[in-house]
Amino acid sequence: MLTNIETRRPARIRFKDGQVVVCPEDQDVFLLSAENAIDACREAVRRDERMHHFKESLLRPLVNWAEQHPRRVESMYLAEANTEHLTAYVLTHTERYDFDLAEELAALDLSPGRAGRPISVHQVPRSDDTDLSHFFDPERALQIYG
Amino acid sequence: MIGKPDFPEWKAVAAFYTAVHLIERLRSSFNEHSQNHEERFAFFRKRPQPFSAIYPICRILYDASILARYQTKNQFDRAFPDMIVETVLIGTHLNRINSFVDNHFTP
Repeated sequence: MLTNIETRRPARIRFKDGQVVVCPEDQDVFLLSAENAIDACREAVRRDERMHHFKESLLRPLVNWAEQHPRRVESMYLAEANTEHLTAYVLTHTERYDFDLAEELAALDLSPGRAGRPISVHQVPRSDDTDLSHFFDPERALQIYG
Repeated sequence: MIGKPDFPEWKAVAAFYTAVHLIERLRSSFNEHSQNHEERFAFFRKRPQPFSAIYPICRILYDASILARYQTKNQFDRAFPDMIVETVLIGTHLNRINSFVDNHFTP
């Protein structure tokens, strides 16, 4: 069971009709993480433009990819990271590491428009006793899929 | 240690950091060095083939090393059963990086 996650779950966001929906009670967490993402992007543009860039260029491709693999991807989390780059964790449905999925995630990184994006995606095979708090701080993370 | 039959989780960690040193050797020929893993991986990600073909391998070795350190041994063994560490992570992926770097210096 995801005991630590159940105690304090990551903020949830949902893509709907081209917009990112943030659960109101978790908005502070979202904005905090977004700020770090903006720093990571290091774009010399206005805040609104940077927020748009974060959501559409970084989050959207990851969520779209996850939505295309519902049988293999259980959930996806964006962890708070340092200002240089972001880290995402993909929790799979199986206990065994999925090499094909890893290749697809790498291909996503190599796809046009993604190369150079400051985000690192790790696969975590699911098991009954998976504790995601070993990988990231759930209180400062965003659940972007699942 | 990497040749012994036990402790696959630590073999995975050793395999990844062996790859790290191999990649740094490769980058040194471009007069480049990495401050962190992402810089190291970006070296492959931002270059065309055959460099970019190494990128997925780096990510897999990195994933395995993280799982080895942050999951339990039982979880790791279920994630990488049946000598996968020895045959795939080391025998295939690490050897491919090793060959790639060797070929770069002695084509």
